[in-house]
Order: sequence, then structure tokens, then C-alpha cells
Amino acid sequence: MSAPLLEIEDLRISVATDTGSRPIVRGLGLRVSAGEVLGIVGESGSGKSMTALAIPALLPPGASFAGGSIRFHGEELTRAGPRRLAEIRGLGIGMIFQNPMTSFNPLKRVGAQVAEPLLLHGKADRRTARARVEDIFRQVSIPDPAARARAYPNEFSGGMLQRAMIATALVNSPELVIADEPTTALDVTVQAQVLDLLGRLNRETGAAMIFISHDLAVVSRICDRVAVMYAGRIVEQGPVRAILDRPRHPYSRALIAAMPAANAAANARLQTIGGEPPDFGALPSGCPFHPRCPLASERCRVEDPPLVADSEGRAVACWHADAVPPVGTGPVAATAAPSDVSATAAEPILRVSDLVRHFRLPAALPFGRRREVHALDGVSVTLARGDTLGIAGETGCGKSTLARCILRLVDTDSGSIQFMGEDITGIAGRSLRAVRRHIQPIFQNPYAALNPRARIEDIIAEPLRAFRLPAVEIDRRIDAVLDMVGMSPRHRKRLPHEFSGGQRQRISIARAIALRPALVVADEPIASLDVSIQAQIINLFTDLRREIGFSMIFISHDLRVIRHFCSHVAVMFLGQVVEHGPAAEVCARPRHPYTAALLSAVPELDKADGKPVILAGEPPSPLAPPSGCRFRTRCFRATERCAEFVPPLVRDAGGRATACFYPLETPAPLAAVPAS
Amino acid sequence: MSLERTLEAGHRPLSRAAGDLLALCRRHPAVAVSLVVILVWVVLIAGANIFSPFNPLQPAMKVRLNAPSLEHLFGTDQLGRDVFTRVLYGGRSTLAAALAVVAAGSLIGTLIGAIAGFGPRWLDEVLMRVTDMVLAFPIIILAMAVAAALGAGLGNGVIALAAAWWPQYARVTRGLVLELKSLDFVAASRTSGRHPAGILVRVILPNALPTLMVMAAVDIGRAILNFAMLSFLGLGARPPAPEWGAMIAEGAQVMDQWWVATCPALAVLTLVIAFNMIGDGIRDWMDPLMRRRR
Repeated sequence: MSAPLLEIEDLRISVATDTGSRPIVRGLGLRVSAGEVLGIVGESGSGKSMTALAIPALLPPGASFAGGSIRFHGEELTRAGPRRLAEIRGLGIGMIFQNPMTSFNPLKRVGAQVAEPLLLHGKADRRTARARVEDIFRQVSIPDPAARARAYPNEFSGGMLQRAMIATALVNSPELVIADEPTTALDVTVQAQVLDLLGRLNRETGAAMIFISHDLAVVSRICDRVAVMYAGRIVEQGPVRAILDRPRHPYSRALIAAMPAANAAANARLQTIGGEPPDFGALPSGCPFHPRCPLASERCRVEDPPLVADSEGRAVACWHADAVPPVGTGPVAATAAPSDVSATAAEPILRVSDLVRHFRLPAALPFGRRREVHALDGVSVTLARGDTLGIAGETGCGKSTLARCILRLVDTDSGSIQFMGEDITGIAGRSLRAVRRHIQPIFQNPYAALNPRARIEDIIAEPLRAFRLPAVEIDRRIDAVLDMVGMSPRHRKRLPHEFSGGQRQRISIARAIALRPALVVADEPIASLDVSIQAQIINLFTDLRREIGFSMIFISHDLRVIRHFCSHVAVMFLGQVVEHGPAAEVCARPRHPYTAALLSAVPELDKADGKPVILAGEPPSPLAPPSGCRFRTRCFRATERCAEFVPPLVRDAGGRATACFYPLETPAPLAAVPAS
Repeated sequence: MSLERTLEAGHRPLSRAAGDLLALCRRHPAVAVSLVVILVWVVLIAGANIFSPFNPLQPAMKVRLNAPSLEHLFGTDQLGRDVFTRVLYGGRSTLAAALAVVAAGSLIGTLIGAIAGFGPRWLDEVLMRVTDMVLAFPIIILAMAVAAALGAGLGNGVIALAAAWWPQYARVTRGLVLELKSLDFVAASRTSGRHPAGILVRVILPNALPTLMVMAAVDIGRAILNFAMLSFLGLGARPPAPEWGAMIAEGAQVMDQWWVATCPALAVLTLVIAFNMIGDGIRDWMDPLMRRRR
């Protein structure tokens, strides 16, 4: 092992709050060697981003350094003056932030911003800087570097801008790059590209990297070593493979077990961590994880375990590290829920046919041509009673618009939505209200989905009162549904802001099931929750469906979750369904190249099979979709035929449908019938 | 996110609100001073008959235009009436009129804005074009025209100002309603089968209320100034009724006896500045960005 490039010892950071200063990083130590990629994993509030920002002394206002040491090349950064720090930030350490859209000045050309560190630190004059920028753009695979350098940030897509930010971080050939959730704001296929790029750059330039993420699977794709953070401390640290295979801290074990694995039985219960991440204002005594830990003992309640290193280069902070069971076993064994893949003959509860919805944007110039966003362009899906239909796709594919059309929150241009045999596309007034009783929504952002000025009981009672249920019955149901979603009736009189994100999502679910609807439409219901909470919510859906038996539309960008939870899946691309069928089959043997690419782009813990299919480019604009097959510009199998003709969604006898001229696997029955 | 934060900030338990007010006063001492100024004025005005033995209307020709003294704190005017007494009684008219203007204006404006923001597109267009038309006139010009048409008088002055006052509330309310309408919890209310009118009145408007109330509180200062202006021009309260604007107008005729005009003018000045200071403080406090930067 070479001498460490970065060495952090006993780092302490405090955050000022209304009620005084609170520790958010509590004695953190780590080291990074030259050329190494270290991943830091943790949930929101674990202190991972604060740690990252503390290294180049970029703590936000309100947060302050409270002790410890940070040595870069043996030089103490916590005592460095502002001038020296600026030098280190520009030359020694490069930063990559989560949101590229807000990290560039919109009024300056991207090339000039990338060149700024070069010019500021006198590494180049204007001419050589330009050459260097073009060079580094080539290195991060930005096409046509000379032209792109002269463009403004708004002319870049999200993925391209993230590449430009990576270029800025690398332009002075730093020895260390700190990437704080660099792929979280990106779509999965673009995330796969960026991860690939970061890995390549690490090999090519030899720059060490600290990669921070909430997603263990993303980290496992790129890092050599990983540190798991909980409540401001590292609880486990070691080589990625070793930790994934044999975690020694109950928290890292739980994080791994909470992810739906590729080979797990569909619809099995996910193993969850009870409770919620602690509020750093009120840390539990002893080991901060003990209230959620199945192994907690009396000692854990009193004494905080130190991080103890062993001979294999691993370290763990747990009194019971030797007792942590391997992943896949343990107290919460996989109890399979009843499989709900219904017979194909079952009566469909929902049939969406040829749905079209275009949004007209205001013209850029008066009397200019009005542009249209093709949100939905002839979408057809069916959902059998009792089934769960997952709808997958990237940003802008129209999946949320589809949900809003089914919920009748958005009007449709043409096509039809049939619900329980009745056409609900154009109904209004009384008949629409009657249908509303049976279709209930769950939204993505639990912070926006609850009226901040209404008590929990009023929020849940709203649909019940709208349908004039007797007061006694309403009262009874509020308690009943709160209990079903794992909340206490004691919470009835409280206001939404008194609850965490996960609890709010439970309240949303309670409200949705209060009327005993036949169909629940959930639009990314877990996307904004912490990893350990996501699994809790998925399990809750599984339990509720078994108890009440509603059908469900489950929208997600994450095929891992859909494969785990849904019986059927529809993959959407740019306003069209490209593949539709039983989830297990579609995910195991995708036929449409886009489905294959999506599946391959999703980072997975146990994916060892070869090189992922990485799609070139980014989703085309829904303002001007390509001719023929919309996917052809990114497709690795596209031919001229794809540019000329639109491939129809062809259904086979097994209930699978694919819209592709060159499917990856020939459908078994050759006599394919066109979908109606 | 920021709107949601503001929404939550708007709904805090009373004990928290009291603590916030204390913190606000500590950060902006001007707010504390302003609160004291307003409090003093309100007490003086409300208890005018206690604090002054004089009759505000009864002429006393023997003591015409006396300079300020211990007996007549602010001196006397052309008819020998005690200026201090008249300022206190005048405050009753001015403050009541200003409150009435803000109440009527905000009520009408909120109603029109809410209908425009929530109703069909064509109604929105119609209401907003009317609003724009009213907004195109400076408030005082429009109020003068209306007051002139109705004839002078305290009540007519209030009607005239309120007629010019509502458009700003209509605009702000419409904006808030449009923004709130797009939030998920309103969508959830729609799918719950609730009647649209119920959604507007019980879900959207309560969330717009904190912002509108702050706006109204800040507006009182401006209303005082505008009503005094209207009276100064002879279109508000009619003499001999005491009213600050009217008193300034009367005092302007005897400029040598400076106290007759200056004392009511100072009353207007201190109250308006105090209300504006509090407005600035509240705006600061409502802005989540400013709150984090301490």
C-alpha cells in the first residue's frame, strides 16, 4: 500500500439549528490512497455530504468544523489559509456535484467555465486553455468539443452538463476527485454512461476518487473500497466485494438485504430495517443504530462501539459484528406473498387504448410556430383485476402523464380509458365523482402530497366525507387505515409537518386505501424516500394488497423494484409503450433493445455477467421525436427500416407485446397477431 | 420546495409564533420600536376621551392659534380647538378608514383572484383584463375620481379607495391559487371526489391565507397615507370632523403657526414608517432563504 493521499482523523462537524449546535459528523476517520476509488454510502442526514464538503473547506453556512484533522499529502487542510485552500481546490482536489443544472453560470459559455481553473491558477494562457478544454471534452466523450465549448449551459442536456462538470473537476489533473451523488439527478441509462466514464477516467488519469451515494449498487459498480456511514460515523469500511458478500455491521447487512435482488422470488417480502434514520438533533444513547438493530443488547444501549480494524483491511463498529448473519438468512426470512400473476382470461379492470396527449407550449415568438410536447402518443395498456402493472421509463417518457390521465387529472386528446367496462375518458360531474371513488392516487413527493394545514384525520377523512359516509364509520376507518399502514391512531390530531418523509408516505397510502378503491395509481411512490424506508413501503404495499386486494399501477424508473413488486410491466419510451408483458419474463428475457438497455443500466449488487449494454446519447426531445421508431437514434440494432416505418406493438400468444422490427429474441409462436 | 416550506412556516403553533416574533424583534430592533410606536398610537387613539379633557369640535375663539404649551401640548388651531385632542380623535377616523379600505380591498381582491385562478380559462381572462385596467390607474387618481363622483364623506372615501385597492390582491391571490393548484395535495383532493368549490375554499384558500394576511398587515400603512391624501384634497372626511389629512389641509392655510399642520403630519409619518418597518421585518421572516442566512 502506498502512503495515503488523504487522511481524515476524528473529523467533527456541527450544524447550527434553532435550538443550538448539533453534531452531524461525529469523529470520522478515513484514508484514500493514490488512484483509489472510495465509496461513501449513507442515508440522508448521515453526514456523508458534509464530510465531502469539509475536505476542501467548503462547508455551507451554518455548518462548522468542530475538530479533527484532514491531511492532504500530509498537509493539514484545517489550518490552511484561504489562499492556500484556493490553490488546493483548484489544483489538487476536483469537485463534482449532484445537480449539474445549478452548478454552471447560465450567462457564461461552458468552455470558459471549464477553463476557469486553468486560467486562475496560471496553468495556461487563453490559447492553450482552449486547446486543453477541447482535449478534456474529448476525454469525457463530449462530441464536437470545439463547438460545445462555445455553447451556453442551457444548450446542454443534463448528462452532457454533468460531463462538462467532470471536465471542470479534471481540467487541472487533480490527484483527488470528490463526487457527491454525481449520478442521482440523471436517468438510469445516462447514469450508466457517467459511471462508465468515471471508472475509465480513474484508470486513465490515475486520480483518486471519493464517490458519495445513497445507492450501494451504484457504489459497487465503480469503487474499490466502501465506507458505510450512519448518524455521522463510519460503521463499516472495507473492500466492496467483501462487504457485499459478508457484511459485518447489521446496518450494512440490512442495506444490502433491503434491495430487491435479481434472483429473488418475485413478490417475496423485502427485509427491512425497522424505524427511521435518527434525527441528528436527538441521537439515541450508545450505538445510534441500536433502536433499529435486531442484535441490540444492553451494552449497545449504553456504549457506542468504536471502529475496530481487522487484518483483512476491514473495519466495523459493532459489539456484535461476529453475530451478524449472512445476507439471505436471518430473522426476517422470505415469506412469499401469494403470487398474483392472474390467468390471462381475467377480466381487465383497466384498458387504455391508443391514448394521445400532446401539451402545447407557448410559441417562442409572437405568431411563431407553436411547439407540442408529445407526452403520450398512442399508448395502450391493460391491467387485469388483482394485478399490478409496473410502468417503467426515463424522464419525459410520459409515464406520469399516463398516470394523471388514468386519474382523470389531465384530459386526453384522443383514445379511450375503460375502467371496469365503462369508458371514463370524457365523463364529468356526477359520473366522474362516482368513478373517483374507485381510483385513488399515491404521489411521489410525500412533502407535497399532504395539505400542510389539515390534520391527519381530516386528510384521511377527505375522500370519506366527499362520499358522505356516516361519521361513525369515518371515525372507525381512520383508526383502521392508520393501523394498517403502521401508524398509531394517536397521530390523528397532528399536522403533516410533524412527520418524516416515510411516515408522510404512509399517511398518503392510508388516505388512498380509506375508500377501499379497486385501483391504486402510484406515481414513483418510493423515489424520494431513503433506501431503508423504500423497502418498508414496498412491503406495506404487498401486505395491503393481500388484505384489501386492490389492483395497482406502479410507476417507477427503477426496473429492480418493478421486477420485484409487479406482475406485469409496460416499458415506455418517448410517449409510447415499447414492451408490455409479465414482469418476470420481460426482465429475464427482454425483447425490445430499450428494455434490455434499461435492465443492463440498472446497477445491481449481484451483477457479475459481463459488460453492460451502455446506450449512446440521451433520450431525444419529446418536442420533436425522431421519425419511424422513436428509439432508433439510440438503438444498437437500428436500420433504415426503423427510420422509415413505425414498428407496431405486436402481441404474442404468451401475453407479451413488443414494438420492434428486430426483437432480441424471436417470439416462440411465429404467427404473431397485431395488437388491437 | 420553497413554496412548501413557506406553507409549513405559515402554520405553526401559537407558542412558536410568539418565539418567532421575539427572535424577529431581536434581529430587527426597528421592528420592536415600530411595534411600540403602533401600540402607543392605538392606546392614545382608543382612549382619546381619557387622555384629553377638550372637545375636538367645539370652537374656543379666545385661544386661537396658541403655540404648544403644557395645557395645549400641540397648540390650538384657527378655531381654538386643541390640536392634540383633534389628532387623537382624527386618528380614530383615519385608522378606522384605513382598516376598512384594507379589509374591503383584500376581501374583494381575494374573491376575484380566487375565481380567476380556479375557474375556467375565459373567466380568468375577463377578470384579469378588468384587473389590469383598474391597475393601470395610480390608486390615488382613481380614488379621487370615484370620490368626486360619490361626493365627499368618510364612507365615500373608503368606498373610493377600496375600489382602487383590490386589484393587487386579485393578482397575488390568482398567482397563489395557480401555484397551489398544481401541487399534489390539491390533485389528491380532486381525486377524493370533493366538490371543486370545496377544494377552493377549504384546501387552497387556507394555504394562501398567511401570505395574504401579511400583505394586508403591511398595507395598513399605505392605506393610512392614501386616505390622508384623499382627505387632504377634500375628498375624504368633511370638516369640522377631525381627520389627519383634512387637518393638514387646514393647517396649510396658516403656515406661520407650524404646529397646526405639522402635528397631524407627524402622526401620519410615524405610523406609516412603523407599519412599513414591520412589513419589511415580516417579509424577511417569511423568506426561507433569508431565514437560513443569519
